[in-house]
Order: sequence, then C-alpha cells, then structure tokens
Amino acid sequence: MVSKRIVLHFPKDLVGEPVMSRLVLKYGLECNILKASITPRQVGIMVLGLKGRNKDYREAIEYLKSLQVTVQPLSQDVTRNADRCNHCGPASPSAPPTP
Amino acid sequence: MTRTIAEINARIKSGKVVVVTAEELIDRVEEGGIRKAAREVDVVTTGTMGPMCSSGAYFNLGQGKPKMKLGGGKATLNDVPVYTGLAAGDFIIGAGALPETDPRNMIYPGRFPYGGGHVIEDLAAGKDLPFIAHAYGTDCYPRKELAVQVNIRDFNQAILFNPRNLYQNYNVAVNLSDRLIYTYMGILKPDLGNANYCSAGQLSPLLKDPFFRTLGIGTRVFLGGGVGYIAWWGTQHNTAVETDERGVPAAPAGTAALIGDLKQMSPKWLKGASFTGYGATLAVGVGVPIPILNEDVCRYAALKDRDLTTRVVDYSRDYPQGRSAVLARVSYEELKSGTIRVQKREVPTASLSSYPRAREIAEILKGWIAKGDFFLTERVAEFPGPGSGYTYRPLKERPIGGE
Repeated sequence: MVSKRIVLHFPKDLVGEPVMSRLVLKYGLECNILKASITPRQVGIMVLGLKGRNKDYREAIEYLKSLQVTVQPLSQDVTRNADRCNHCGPASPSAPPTP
Repeated sequence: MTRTIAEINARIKSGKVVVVTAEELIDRVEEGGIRKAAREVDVVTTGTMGPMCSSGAYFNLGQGKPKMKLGGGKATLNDVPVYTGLAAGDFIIGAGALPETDPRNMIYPGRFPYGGGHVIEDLAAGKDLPFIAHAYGTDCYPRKELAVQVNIRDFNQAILFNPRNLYQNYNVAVNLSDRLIYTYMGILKPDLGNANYCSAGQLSPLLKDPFFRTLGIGTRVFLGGGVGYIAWWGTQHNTAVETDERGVPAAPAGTAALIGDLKQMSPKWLKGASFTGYGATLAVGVGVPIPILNEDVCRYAALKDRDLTTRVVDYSRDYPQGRSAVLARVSYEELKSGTIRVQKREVPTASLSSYPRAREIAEILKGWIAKGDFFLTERVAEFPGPGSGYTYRPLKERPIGGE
C-alpha cells in the first residue's frame, strides 16, 4: 500500500479528461482533494492525497504524466530559500501549501 | 549601587566595560542574584527582528540637467510608487507600497511578492534599480521626465525611518472562525488551528526597560546592521494598557520611532517580506543597549520569558471589529514551547519575529560595545511613561458636514 500527498499542475487545455474519475475507477485509488484552484492564466493546481496499491499508484502517476500533468511531492512544493530565510516561525508549521 | 552613562562610556573607552546580552543577564541573575549582577554588569544588549509595516526611507537624489521638481509629480522606484509631495529632489518610500500592476487581493489571497520593503532591501544590497519620474515642469525646474538607473550610492541621502517599531509587547493572533484567514499576523487556520505571536520576549528592547527609565529620544541603537537613533516615541505609543503584577505591559504598549543612515545598513537586517492576503512589509533588525544605572533597571532587564506575558486575541471577528477580548493570557515561555492552551485546546504556536536574529543582534551590539566601537548616548528627552495618560485612541468618526 502507498499513501502520498502530491501537487498536480494541470495544463489549461485539459478540460475534457475526467482525471479524478479515472484515478478512482481505473486505478482503484482513494483520492482526497486537499486543495484546488485555477490561476488567472487557467492553470489548475491541486493538492491531492492518494492511497492505494503500489502498482496502481505508479500506473496512475504515469497516466497523469501522459496528460502533461506535472506531478511533484507536496514536500517538494515547500522550499526554503536559505539566503532570504529570516528564521521566523510560521513558514513551516502553519503555511498551507501554496504552489 | 548607581552608575551613570558617562561612567559607562569611560569604561567602554578603557576597555573595562562589562557588557552582556539580556539572555546572559538572566543567567547571571539566576546564579548570583540581582544585586551582584547589577554591581558587575554595565550594559545589557537586547535585540529584535520582526516585520514592521510602519517602516520607510527618505531620499535626496541630486539634480540632472535640466533640473526637475519631483514635488507634486509622480515617481516609481523599481515600479513601486514613492511619495513626492516634498521638495524638488526628495521622496519617501513606505514598506507597504505596491506596484500599480499588483492585483492586490483581487485574486484572493494576494501574494504581494514585491513592495516598498523589498525596494529598501534591494537598495541596501547595492542593486541598481530603475527610477522613473514625471513632473509638471516649472521655470526653474523645467524637466518633465526622468528614467534612470539608481543605486544607493547615487543618493545624497538615503535615510531609513520607522515611524513605529520596537512594539513593547504584542498580541497572539488566533482564528475562531471556520475559514482560513490571511492577516498581518500571518495565515491563521480556522477553529484555533494555530497561534502566531510577534515579540522577542526576553530579548525584546522595550520589554526590558518597561517604564522607559533609560531609553528615550536620542538613544543610539543598532539599526539594520548600522547605527541609528531613537528619534521620538513611535506612533500608537500607548502607556495605558493591561499590566502584570510587576506593572510590565501585558498587551501592545510602548513603541519607538527610529532613524538611521540606510547607506550603512545591510540586507541581512532589512528583509522585504510578503504576507499572503495582506501585503508587503519590511522586517527590520534593531538592538538597544540598556545601561544598568541601578538595581531596579537590572531587575527589569533580567525578566525572563516565564515572567513576560501577553494576551491571545481572535483575528477573525474581534480584532477587525475593534474588540480585543482576551481569550487567554500566556507567557513567552509557553509561546516558545510550541503550544499554548486556549479554550481548553492545545494550539500550535509560531513567531513572526525571528528569535535567532534577535539573539544575533544582541551579540553583535555586545561586540561593538566591548570593542569600543559603540558608545552609549544620554537621552535628550524621555518617552511618555506609565501614568502619563498618553494613550492610543480609536477614531471617533464624525460625518463630513455634520454637527
């Protein structure tokens, strides 16, 4: 079993594809949408929790990539700029993911 | 036991001064008591580095040919509007200023990636920035347009000025509503999801001299990595707030206005900051020396995080509506433990003010004094203190044209 939180960036022309349904129906994954938004330039951003079998998860990620959806781990989405970091507190514990 | 600032300066000059940080004073007092510490220590250094929107800088740019009158015109520095309602060559920038093209909160929550605070940081870092100005032209200042690269070196004067800084104490912000909110105290999760505070606590300058017995107008300080001065008491200075049993403010209270030469300063101690959904600002590093003039000054300078308290306030409804109902009273020791208890809930805490930087500033200022590079000044006037009746007053709204 695998349980991961990932950040997806959807290209703006990907509207006809029922992506979430496929993840559930075809790959049997449990999906939990943690956050979703569309930027002014029509790029979709979603923070998604996925749970399921390793093989299904891997295949689902391949499916997403085949649609030109960018997939990255949530942890990678929070970056620290060491030069500008002022060592205050809120950045780490309370900032929600803001891709 | 008493000593004067003149005596302390003589000891700085002779290399015999005993200077410790506020943290080190706490240790000394715990080991040997107040009397011994007051006898031994001449100066205590404090420090803080938190975001302060009431920060800005003013400049004088020398004249090109032909001359131009900025006053009454319009200008931007790196796309950020500056205030030009002054003389021909002067202008002011504020930390909260935003480029005209920034969408603000129209796309909620706004990101505010660059503003006046970032301009000040970039200037301190020695970057070239575009300065574009439009003027109406006069007989003596005929030029109407100017578009040039400027560097901090190009200005005759570049002066950092904080109308308000060094808040003596501050609220802890929480969110009692059911939605995420974006505030100047950071992002607050719904239903008491987190608590943000903003003070260096036991290193915070005005908390360590709570009755303004040593600092005042003319006090020399560490400002942005250079030397600055307390110019006045700060805006929103308030001497009539809740206090603890020692009389130390337990809510936002005194403030100080600070001034210093931006050309001496470093981007490490002036950091432009973006508050999602709120705006752009500037974190300013400040350190204030407290001369141990007597045991009483020492006693308050030695107050610990455990002794210093503040109030927890809801920023979803109470703060915006001008109410400051106290949800809980907590100490800085509790805040720094990582969780506080509010309404029977464990709430994770985080500090907007950088304690590691505060500690570093107190150490740097200590080093300057110990090496004889920094002498203390006598204040030339006192701040309004407790009992003065000097308070913050909310606006009493009077309709235009009304009685």
